[in-house]
Amino acid sequence: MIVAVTGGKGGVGKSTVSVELGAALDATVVDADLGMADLPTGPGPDLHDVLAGRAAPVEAVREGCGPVRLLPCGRSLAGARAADVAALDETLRAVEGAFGDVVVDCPAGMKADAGVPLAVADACVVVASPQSYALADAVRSRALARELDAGLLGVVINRAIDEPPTETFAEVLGAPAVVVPADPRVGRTVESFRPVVRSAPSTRAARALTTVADAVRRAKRV
Amino acid sequence: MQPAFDAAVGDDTDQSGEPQTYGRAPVEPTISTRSAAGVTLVQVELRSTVAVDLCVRVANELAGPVLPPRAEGVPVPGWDADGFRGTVPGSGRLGVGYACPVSSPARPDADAVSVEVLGPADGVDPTSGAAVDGDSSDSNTVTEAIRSLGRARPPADVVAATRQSQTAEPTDTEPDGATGRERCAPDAIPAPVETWLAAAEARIERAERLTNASAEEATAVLESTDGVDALVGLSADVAADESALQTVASRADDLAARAAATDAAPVVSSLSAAAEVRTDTDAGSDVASEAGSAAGGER
Repeated sequence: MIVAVTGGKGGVGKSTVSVELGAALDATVVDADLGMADLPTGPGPDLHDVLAGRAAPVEAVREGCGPVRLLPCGRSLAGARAADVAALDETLRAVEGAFGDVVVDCPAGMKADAGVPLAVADACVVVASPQSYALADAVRSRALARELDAGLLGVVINRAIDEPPTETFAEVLGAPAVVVPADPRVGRTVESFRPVVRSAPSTRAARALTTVADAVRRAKRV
Repeated sequence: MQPAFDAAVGDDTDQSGEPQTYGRAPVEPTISTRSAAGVTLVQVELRSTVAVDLCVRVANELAGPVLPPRAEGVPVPGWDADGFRGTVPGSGRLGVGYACPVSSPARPDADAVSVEVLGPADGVDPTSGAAVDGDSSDSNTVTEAIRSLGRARPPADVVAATRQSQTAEPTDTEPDGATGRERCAPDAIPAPVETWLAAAEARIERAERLTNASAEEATAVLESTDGVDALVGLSADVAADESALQTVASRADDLAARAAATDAAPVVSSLSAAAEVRTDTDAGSDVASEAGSAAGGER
């Protein structure tokens, strides 16, 4: 199963949610933000290399150096230019074939680099920021996902401080919405590589993310 | 068996020898070709003589691959490596064209393609890129996504000098047709710097006009800027411009002085000569000794 984590705007927390879902599902996380890598990388082939035909997808997956298997993105402009986004299709399928479930961390925006992962994915999760004016961005992502045939499994209202209008989000977007409160432990998930679903599973944040992971598992069985 | 129509217009019998119900072919093609610079452009106009939408296939018969029209780098729907498949509207026309990298077809225009009527259009528009011939619908969605959303372009390099360290890459932001290997004119300012200076100059000019301004002058500035809100931050902006410009000025002075003091040409030409000697063993020994003395001599 290939799940795309999307959300239109930059900075809503797609990468954090991707790592959390990857940990909850024991999936491989692919950092598909070609222009601006979100997740840590190290020496070795990366997604830029794969999309430029310099490496096979399986060679670029890092195992054992963090809580999730990760296919990181490259960090150079030259690499981003040489990467062919159309090759993402066979790349994601190759990773799925070799390692199982895939969680794709999508870039912000509405261009092909955001759309292609949705076109390939079987389903998606939209990450939204809690302000009611941010609903429009979430709706745009939802519309793009629908156009590209990626069913919406759930909405993550991220970094919530006051109680957000959860029912409004769920109704407008047409999928269950969970709230991940502004928790500093979640904020450190990416840099410390310690997802709260494992390190602090009883927190509200972890339970919300686990709910979304359960929705993904149910969708798989159907 | 569907009749396959040769491009010859006005042929009344089909290949299986059965008489036509109508006196003409359901689709009448007009083909023209034009060759230039090693490429042949093929233009096909298909005119329907029946009142039914027909699905047709236009296959390339030239001795080269099809270069189809593209949107965002992916072929327009309906095109594949051998030609085009689409719908000619009932009693209407369809025009398609493509390129083929052969220098001249050397045969009558009409032989450049073969046109085949596949039957009535079955309501599934082949030009929409919907799954045909068992293609995975996902890869069609992917190409459709690229076509409709547009490829994301990483930003162009800000500093011109980095272009020389990359192999020739097509960018559509290349200014004035300068190639990657040419240097800018000796006193040309790179575009981003020019843009910044022009913006700073506009702010400074506005601040100059407002310095000790009369009521008339102040009103004129206010009118040109669309309200006082745009001027509220002006002093702070100009102060920031002043300190940035001074920093840049002193740094630019330093760099200019260092540039003036360099003289790399003699050593560089010796090094290139030495590199040639390594690959060309017939070069005279005087080149090698010149390289040796230059490297071991001055500096």
